[in-house]
Amino acid sequence: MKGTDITMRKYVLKRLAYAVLVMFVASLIAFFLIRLAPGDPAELILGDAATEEQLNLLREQMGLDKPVLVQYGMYLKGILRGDFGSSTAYKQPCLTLIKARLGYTLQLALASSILIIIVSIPLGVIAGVKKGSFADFFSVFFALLGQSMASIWVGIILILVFGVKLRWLPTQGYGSIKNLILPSITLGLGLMASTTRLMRSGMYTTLQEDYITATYARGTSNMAVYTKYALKNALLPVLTVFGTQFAAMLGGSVVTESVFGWPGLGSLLLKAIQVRDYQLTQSILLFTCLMLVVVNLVVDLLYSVIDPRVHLEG
Amino acid sequence: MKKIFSVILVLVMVLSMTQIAQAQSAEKKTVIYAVGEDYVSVDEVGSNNVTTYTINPMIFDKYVYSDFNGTLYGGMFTDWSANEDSTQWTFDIRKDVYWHNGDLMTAEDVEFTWELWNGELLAQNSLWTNLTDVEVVNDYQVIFHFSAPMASFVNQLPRYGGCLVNKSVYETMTREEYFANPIGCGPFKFVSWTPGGDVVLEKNDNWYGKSVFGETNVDTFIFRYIAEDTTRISALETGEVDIIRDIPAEQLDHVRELDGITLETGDAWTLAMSGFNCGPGKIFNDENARLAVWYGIDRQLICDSILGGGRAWYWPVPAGCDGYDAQMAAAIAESSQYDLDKAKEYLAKTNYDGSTIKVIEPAGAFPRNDEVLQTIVSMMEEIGFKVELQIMDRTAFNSVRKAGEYDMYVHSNSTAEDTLTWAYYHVVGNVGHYDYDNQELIDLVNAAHDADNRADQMDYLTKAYNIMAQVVAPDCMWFTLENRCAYKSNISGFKLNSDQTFDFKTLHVD
Repeated sequence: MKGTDITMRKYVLKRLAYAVLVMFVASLIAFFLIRLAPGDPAELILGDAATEEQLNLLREQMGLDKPVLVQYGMYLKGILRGDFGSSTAYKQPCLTLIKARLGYTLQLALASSILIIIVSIPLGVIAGVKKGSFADFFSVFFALLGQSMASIWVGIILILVFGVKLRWLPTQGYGSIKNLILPSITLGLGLMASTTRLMRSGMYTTLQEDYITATYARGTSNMAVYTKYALKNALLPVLTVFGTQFAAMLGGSVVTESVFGWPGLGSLLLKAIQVRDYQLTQSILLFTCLMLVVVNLVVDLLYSVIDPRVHLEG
Repeated sequence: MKKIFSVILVLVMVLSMTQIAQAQSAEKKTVIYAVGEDYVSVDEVGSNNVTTYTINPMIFDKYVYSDFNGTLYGGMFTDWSANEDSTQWTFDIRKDVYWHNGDLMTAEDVEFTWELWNGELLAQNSLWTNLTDVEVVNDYQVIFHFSAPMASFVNQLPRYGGCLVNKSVYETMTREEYFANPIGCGPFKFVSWTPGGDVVLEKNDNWYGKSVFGETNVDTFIFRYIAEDTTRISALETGEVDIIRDIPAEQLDHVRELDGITLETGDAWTLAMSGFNCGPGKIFNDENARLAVWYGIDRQLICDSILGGGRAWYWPVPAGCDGYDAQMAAAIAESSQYDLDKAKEYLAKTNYDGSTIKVIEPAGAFPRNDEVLQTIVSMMEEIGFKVELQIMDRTAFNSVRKAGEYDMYVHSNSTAEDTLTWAYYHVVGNVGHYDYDNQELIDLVNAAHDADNRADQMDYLTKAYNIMAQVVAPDCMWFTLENRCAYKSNISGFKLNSDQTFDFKTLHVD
């Protein structure tokens, strides 16, 4: 086995061990955070008219009468068995609910990411290469605009223009590519803007490096310098930001989902918190954390693929 | 030649069959109803949600229907009667009610369902704590036995106790499995539900109601959850959805001007109200302080200038509900008009020392919540109160209210026809932590609760409500909210009910 393979395997194992630790801490935070919020789930389920006796009985059925640490132990035991419990509001297993929404959240996150890749990276590269050009001014303007507009406003404007006025795209709904366009622009616009800015500055800085001058001196063509040498280095910070943001998108977006009637994880989490659905809130938070850990690991592994000078320490 | 002719003939037949199939499929009628409140659970008796109360009767049907003007009419039950002290209710079951799987619905299903609900802790169970037994007389008759009089039992049925389950199917699976793919007896069959998205139903051709109420010509009904008002209205405007509810005041004119769209409004059985902490030492322990607020809030101004609809309201329950008396309500309204000077006079009679009054409210209790609350607070300050407003999330609100850490709360009360439960838990049960001690009022509500016939029950209830309006305690009403829906003009045969649910059983599309 090659030395690099062994290093890679060691690195991945180490990161997986860290991931277990992170997940444990996340489960602790998710569990206790929702319980810190005022409100009694039993009261919310049974309503105002419930007697104290009925409330106590339900608390007992839900295990809420036990000491918090015992509750946490039961919760952890359930997770290890793959049982995330049932939602008190939806009266369905939490995993069933998450699975039902995950597909839609993934669709939206992927569509937004594709937009970022096909719009922001080329735009940022051109702006970085042609500093002071129209493309550069446009990219700065786009970045400023994209980052300063609230997504709820962007969503509504897109609906009014492309849905109501021009009738090109549906204003709401899910299930087809057409339905995906406006929500993915709304969700991705902020990140498209920041990626463009980051790509522009990364490209510009890299092109000032000595090794680029040396590469030019060897007679390498402009295109080869940009794509083969500069782009790889300029991509590293973009990859970091993109990875984190992509993982966040997998946690769902309350605003975009609400505006377009998109059945993703964000609105499910909001509902779960509002009705103090402990099991569901914990499960979604834990799942989001898992996504973050996995995406970060993938991003770190991609570093070494994009730039072989980056060493993975096992 | 013969072979060629045969092939051509077959091709022609296939093509024409395809055409026919396409034409039939094109004729299929679909209606999409969009609303800003999510469908949370099929398991109805465990939840309190207007959307659920709209969708579920379409799947499960109702035992008894209400016309929302005080008249009940039969659904799956054709006839009913109570014994002398209302501890026994006998119901006749229609003989042509079939489940969506083709089984005949019988008294055994009714018995099984009610005993199932009765053994569990559910949101609606507080209504039926006295239910002791459901007796099957024969396949088409059941008797409900109660340990105490339940004079209003049949009046609760149009709204509560739905979700009748098929005994033989339910017994073969878990509750979660049953409600993941529910079987009902209603005008529509359940097809699918994407939580947070669509509930898809299809027409039940074997519904008994076709010959009783009329038939829908809608093949597929889709309920769609769209939280954002602008999106919902845009979807109606572009024709993507057919019916919407919850139209904000600022969009009313826009919707009114849309071509081919009908806007319908009416009074909802939802009241914006306040509750007072009348405990010892509290400012609202003094009736004069409550009267100051009563006269000092310009209810109609709020309706006209902020909500774009609704009516100033003074009687504890909406018109048409149990305990409403038009004459008494009109008299109370006439003597209770906004009068700032009078409000100040009442405040002067108290020993209010200028200390801060804590007003709490659960966020989103009614439309344009924040503006309405700010207006109420500024009107209270004009009377002379010093007010601290705290808008909090619903669960936090419940905790603060339960702990009695407030002076006045603002909320909305959505009621069904039966208002006794609400009165009983507020006045006798002190659910709002009012600490209001008025023996005459408590006796009247208790008498209504224990009454063995409906006439006495209504009489006690009306008297109790009259006292509540006179002494402004423990609750004080502000205004009714407006029910609003908009739909494509080719749609008919449905009704927006006063309790904000819809009756879609005879929905029709031209």
